[in-house]
Amino acid sequence: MDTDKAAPHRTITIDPVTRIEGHAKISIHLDGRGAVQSARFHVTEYRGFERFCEGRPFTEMAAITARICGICPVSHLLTAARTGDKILAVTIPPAAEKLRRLMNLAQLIQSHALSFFHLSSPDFLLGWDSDPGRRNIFGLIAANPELARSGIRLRQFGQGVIEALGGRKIHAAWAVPGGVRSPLSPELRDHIRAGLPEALAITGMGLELFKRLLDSQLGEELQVFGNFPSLFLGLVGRDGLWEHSRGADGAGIRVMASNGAVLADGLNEDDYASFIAEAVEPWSYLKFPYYRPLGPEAGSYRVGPLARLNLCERIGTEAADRELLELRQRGGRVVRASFLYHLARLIEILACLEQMQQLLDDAEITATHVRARASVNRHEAVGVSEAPRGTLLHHYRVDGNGLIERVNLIIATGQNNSAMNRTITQIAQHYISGSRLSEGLLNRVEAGIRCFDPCLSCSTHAAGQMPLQVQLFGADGALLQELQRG
Amino acid sequence: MTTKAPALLIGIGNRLRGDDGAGYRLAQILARRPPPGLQVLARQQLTPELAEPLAAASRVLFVDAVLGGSGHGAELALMPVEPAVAAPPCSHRLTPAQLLGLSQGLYGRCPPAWQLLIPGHGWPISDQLSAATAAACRGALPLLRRWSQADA
Repeated sequence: MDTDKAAPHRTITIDPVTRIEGHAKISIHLDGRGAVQSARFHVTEYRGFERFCEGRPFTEMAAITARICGICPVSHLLTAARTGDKILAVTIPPAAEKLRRLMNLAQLIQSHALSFFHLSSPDFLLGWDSDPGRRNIFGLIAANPELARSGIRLRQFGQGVIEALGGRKIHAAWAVPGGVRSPLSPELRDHIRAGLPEALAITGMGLELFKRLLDSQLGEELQVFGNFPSLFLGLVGRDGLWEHSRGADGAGIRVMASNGAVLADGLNEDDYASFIAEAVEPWSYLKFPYYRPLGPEAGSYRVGPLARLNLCERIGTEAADRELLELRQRGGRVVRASFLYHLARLIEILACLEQMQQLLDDAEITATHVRARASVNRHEAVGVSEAPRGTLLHHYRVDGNGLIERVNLIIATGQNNSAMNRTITQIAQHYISGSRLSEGLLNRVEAGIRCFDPCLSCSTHAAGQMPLQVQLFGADGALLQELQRG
Repeated sequence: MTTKAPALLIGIGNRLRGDDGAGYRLAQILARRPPPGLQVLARQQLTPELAEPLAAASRVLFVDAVLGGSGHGAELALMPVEPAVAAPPCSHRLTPAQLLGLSQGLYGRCPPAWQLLIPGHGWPISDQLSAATAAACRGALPLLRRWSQADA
């Protein structure tokens, strides 16, 4: 019996999605009985950075692509510089390599701090069903001012390191093909070092708070916020160490299945087209990358903090490795629950702070030879790094004068596109039926997207602001119900 | 003896988008030789962590560009800004009013604040100001210096 034929289908639209970076909407498709058939995450913005980079000198790419985003400019800066290194065909000075790593650690810290403390914690601390007008940073201030201040301080620390290295917090054009523009002075090194104890204390407080919430009140979210098998993809260092920069010796891309099977290891970014393909859907500007050997369905993979922690054997620093072990005790060797992206972010902040300490203790970090110089020696190159949201690839082709002929950018958020769609479908199917539509339930669907901390500015290369509109349509397209906020 | 809190001037803008960089550039000029008692910050956008220096300031002036703005030749004027109590619509980019509200909420203090809007004539991809906006910036400098010394 097909009762769907008799009853009208309906669609709920959440437009735009809030507390993410960029423009998007969610549509939830109900069948005639009010049960959720599917949910779709629509990215509705488009800017097309790849096209207007054409004709520019490759040496400008770091500065240009950094402007894709005000949140993770450093990721584009470093990846573009790395791609430029390969066009020059140079090995950059060791100090430059370490300084770039230091900046990427700072970028991970500041971005993860914003995501956890300011974008996502209002949901955990104020409640999914709390007043949406207060379920934000101002509500958090009222409920837990210490936590709100701590989030600010942690982000400030990361931003401060970026500014100390690059001269600016946002769009620091400091990393260049061949290295970096300026070394780190001993005074600035000591200044950064002085901020580490407070940053570590804040991170420890965040970890304890979130683990307590997971144990006491977030059990259901663990089960239904994007808990499914998929592949995971990302950089892994030598001996299986957690990695965020391709410059490290022995680093390569690993692909792992949810059962722990390593499908591919040591993949070189130069060959990305052989293992990553991109599908498109007519309802979104965001592409759907997948692991080519397995096709669009079975090849769907996740990137980002949780993927990186799943892929590595260990992090390599004491406190972060303790937390990694606890994460695996909580979620298994390969964690499937997307809700634990939040915990993964906090563990990565800890890892970053510990690795930062190690880098600052390295005498070479203040060496003054930080740039290798050469002219165009290769006409095509691919660079890769781990951005806060996952694996980022830049692919350039240049002419004999170093002018860009073609650009392709594979962005982390895009690689999580399939997983985000599966996540919101799972949440919608669990919480929503046509007869019980509420803002709080829809907020849970949005929160499924926020697990991935998507940066739509990067993934489609645009930016925007987000009030929220929810619309319920009948099968004939008639508007049945509308909720709005913002 | 107590040390008086500094006044804070924040210049906002994107130096690579033509006249949008006016506020940023003015802050850069002032930062070269800041008047006594004035802290100067040049920023592409207002971000949450600025709430802390804001809370520590005796007063604050935001300098930004506005497309069109007052007519050509119109007198530049400081306008008071009140803290916003509503939530920020976006997570990483705040208006002056939202930043003041954040400062009040986080640190229990927000200083008296003003805004100076420099009329801009276009946001092209360029690292140059238009002639009219450059002239407006020159006209703004004495105003900014007077503000910085108002209660010195």
